[in-house]
Amino acid sequence: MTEEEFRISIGAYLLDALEPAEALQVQTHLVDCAECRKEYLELTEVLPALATLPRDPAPEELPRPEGETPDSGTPEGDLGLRRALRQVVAEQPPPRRRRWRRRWRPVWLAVAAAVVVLTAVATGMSVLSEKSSSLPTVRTVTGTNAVTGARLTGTLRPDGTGAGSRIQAELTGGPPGMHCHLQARATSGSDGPQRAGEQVQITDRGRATWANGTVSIPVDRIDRLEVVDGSGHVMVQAQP
Amino acid sequence: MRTPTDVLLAFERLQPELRAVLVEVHFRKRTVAEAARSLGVPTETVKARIYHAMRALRLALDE
Repeated sequence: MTEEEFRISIGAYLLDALEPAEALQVQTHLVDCAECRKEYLELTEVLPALATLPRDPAPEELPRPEGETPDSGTPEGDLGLRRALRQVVAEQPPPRRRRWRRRWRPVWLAVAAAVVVLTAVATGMSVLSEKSSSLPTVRTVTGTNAVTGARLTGTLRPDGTGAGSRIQAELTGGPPGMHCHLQARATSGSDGPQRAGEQVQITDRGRATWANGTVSIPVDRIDRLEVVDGSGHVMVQAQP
Repeated sequence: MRTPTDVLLAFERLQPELRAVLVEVHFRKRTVAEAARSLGVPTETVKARIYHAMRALRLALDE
């Protein structure tokens, strides 16, 4: 792949739409290419927004309008989808655009600053130093469940106060459809685990991501990340 | 956080061909190859449309 082809593929990578071999190529490229990492971080901001829209019922279950061609992409072609989306919107309170902007923009910017590369496919990358000296050190953790093959990679970055951490993590090879959440454990062992990410459903391709987890444990005191299923069982853990 | 209304409005304002790829890949959970077959376009076109759709959404939601 050329540099341009890698860059163009980032969106599909984020939406988990690439074939596994191609996804791995993109992951590997992201480790080496600062420009593509920047692109990746920017596009990552779209994921929470897309997640607010319903994925079920799948629009494919709704019949296409008569005469619609597969590539029409017309508003009429999206009628089923729009019907589903509008139903969700109808259940929401009236939009308060200016209000959420004031409330969420700082969070959004913080997330953008905290989001780091999820591409620690290379084993042994326990600690990464940002090339820019203005950015704090980022720790990367990885782990694989030898039985199930589930793999967890995560990046830990100090929050604004230094007393806590911002966490981005990705699970691959998980059981499709299962609900799980992310938690962090401190090195001291005296504290219980802290939930670091909302509950998500593992995709059909066995993937789950947490883009903006936070815990009140400093980066250097985090011993490991864990993905926990709905029954409280640890599916996979990741350590430096 | 952006409300579903904000996201829906931004989504609806996408160019039709960009919206179509997101329907295929995000909502119908299809791969790039599957979406390309469904839409009748090359896989590279699907990737490019996904990329431009996500950039457009980001810009729209950041306004």
